[in-house]
Amino acid sequence: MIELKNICKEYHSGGAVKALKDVNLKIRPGEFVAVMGASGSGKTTLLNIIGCMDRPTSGEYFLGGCKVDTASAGRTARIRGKKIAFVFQHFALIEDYTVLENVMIPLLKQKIPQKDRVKRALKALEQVGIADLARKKAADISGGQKQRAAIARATACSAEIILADEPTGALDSESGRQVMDLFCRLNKQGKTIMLITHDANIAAFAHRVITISDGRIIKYEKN
Amino acid sequence: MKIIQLAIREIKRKKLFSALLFAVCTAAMYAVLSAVTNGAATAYQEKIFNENIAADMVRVLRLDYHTSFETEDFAGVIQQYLRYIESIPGVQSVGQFDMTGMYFSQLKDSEKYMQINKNAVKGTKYENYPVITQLLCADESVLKLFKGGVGGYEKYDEGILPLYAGRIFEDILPPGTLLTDERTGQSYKIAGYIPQGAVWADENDPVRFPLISLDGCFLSPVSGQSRQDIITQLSMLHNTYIFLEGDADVKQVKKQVSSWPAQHGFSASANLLSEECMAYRAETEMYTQANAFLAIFVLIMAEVCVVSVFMTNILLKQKQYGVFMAGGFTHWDIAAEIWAEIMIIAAASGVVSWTVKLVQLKTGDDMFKNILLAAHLRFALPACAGVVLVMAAVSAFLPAIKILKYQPARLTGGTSGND
Repeated sequence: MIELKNICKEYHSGGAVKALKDVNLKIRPGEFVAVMGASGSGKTTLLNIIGCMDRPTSGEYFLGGCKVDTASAGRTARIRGKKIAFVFQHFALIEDYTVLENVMIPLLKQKIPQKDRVKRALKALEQVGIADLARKKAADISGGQKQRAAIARATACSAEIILADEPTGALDSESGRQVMDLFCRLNKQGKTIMLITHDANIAAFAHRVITISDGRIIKYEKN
Repeated sequence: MKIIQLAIREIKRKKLFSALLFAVCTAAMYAVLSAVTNGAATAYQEKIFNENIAADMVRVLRLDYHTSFETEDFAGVIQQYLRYIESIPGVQSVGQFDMTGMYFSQLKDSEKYMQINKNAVKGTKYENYPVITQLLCADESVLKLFKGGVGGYEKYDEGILPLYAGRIFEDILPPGTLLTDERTGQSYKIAGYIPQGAVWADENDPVRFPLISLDGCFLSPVSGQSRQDIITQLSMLHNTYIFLEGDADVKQVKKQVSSWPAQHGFSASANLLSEECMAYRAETEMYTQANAFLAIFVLIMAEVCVVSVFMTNILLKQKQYGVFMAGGFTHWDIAAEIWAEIMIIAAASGVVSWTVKLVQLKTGDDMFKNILLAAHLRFALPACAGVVLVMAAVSAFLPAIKILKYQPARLTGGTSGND
């Protein structure tokens, strides 16, 4: 269970900017939530706070019943490593790593033998249909393939929560649909998915759509 | 382990940068190692001298001969001069020595002798001439200059001089063996052996030059013929030592030692061994300081270079670090990876420069080779390890601080504003 209570986030870059204002949100395990909103509305900030990639300025954040907003950097790193996986905007693959090496990144901090790491990464690549590209450099594959590799990286570590920031933003409609099919399949396997999108058609795949405007959640809709 | 593997991978990824950094670090490390080796060698040389000197250095003067009008009877003038010095109040004794290469008629065809001597003169100017015997001719009074050697001669007459051989010749030259100097016809009789490990001063300078081993040498009193030979006498004049009484007026003795030659057509003075040591220390300190300054300057330049490259890297690799942190890496893991990267490059450059310096010293024919080698092996290696650690720590500090300042979200580029 993800629970945010009165979360605020302020940035101080050339004056104080309130990115999130009193955000309250509960996401149940296994839920598929889409977050919509205009550019600069605070969607990515919300995703980063949920993913323990950033800290709220005020408010409380509970993950699986544990308070994480005040947890140490080491503990939040462990939470990220074990429970949360990310699919970043524009894939965020390391271009001169192979696809396999990229997928193995979240497994590096796990205490498993290298052989098993490779096995798990290959299995994740198989699930997204690009196991044959494992030894190719990330720079040498197409945008759709890169996004699949990014999803494989998110699934390889068996995290319960997958956070995706505009995963179809850089893809054509066919590739976007295939990626969404993958997310649906992962959600059916029990993963909690939170996805940011501008596209209402993509949001339609989710159980619930949250709309953010000017740092506040202004709409909760069920599909 | 994973951190080191990642660091190695990063080094391999940035081959050109890594190669440049390696070159810069190697140059800096080489400068540091040279400064350490040279500095340590001079200190080591001084330490060895102090450990081996048996005489009280504030009670021993060494004659410094400057110029002369070397007349035919100059050898006689020198003998008069030595007798005069001996008569100065406060002077206990005067002694000289001369190190010379010579042939013993009985040994020049001896295979066994040449075999042993070949090993003894290895690395010296006599390396290719094992038939030449190294003979130290020394007055009995100077034998007390260094520890561990022959204490005194047995009674002798000028006809057959007592000869003390290095222990390595003991098996082929039993006591009583008679030997003849092929050039002068002077006879010698083996009277004993020089204790293993005994050392003596280099004839050029006892303080500035490394002490020489007497293990492969022979020792005998100065012959009467040598005292009449102008060449030998001129050579020995530089190696004349004046031993003073405990209550001697050093200033007055020095004054008298230098005034007599002025009246006899040449110039000479005397300095205490302790003064020569101080002069040597002052010279080497200046040289060592200049070397250290240069090494530190080069090291700082290398540090600036490494830090700049890594700071730029951090800007270029922000997203990559963010991805790693999203995968469970902490700020400290990233900082450790940067440190490991620098450490590997610095360590590799340390090993290479240390080895290059070692090979240079081993293959070179520097007369301080042994001292330099000993200093390099004893002091340069730990200094090298220290410099590598400091270099890596200092170079990693700023990049690590930069990384520690960022939230992971900032690194992935997710938030710089309010999206």
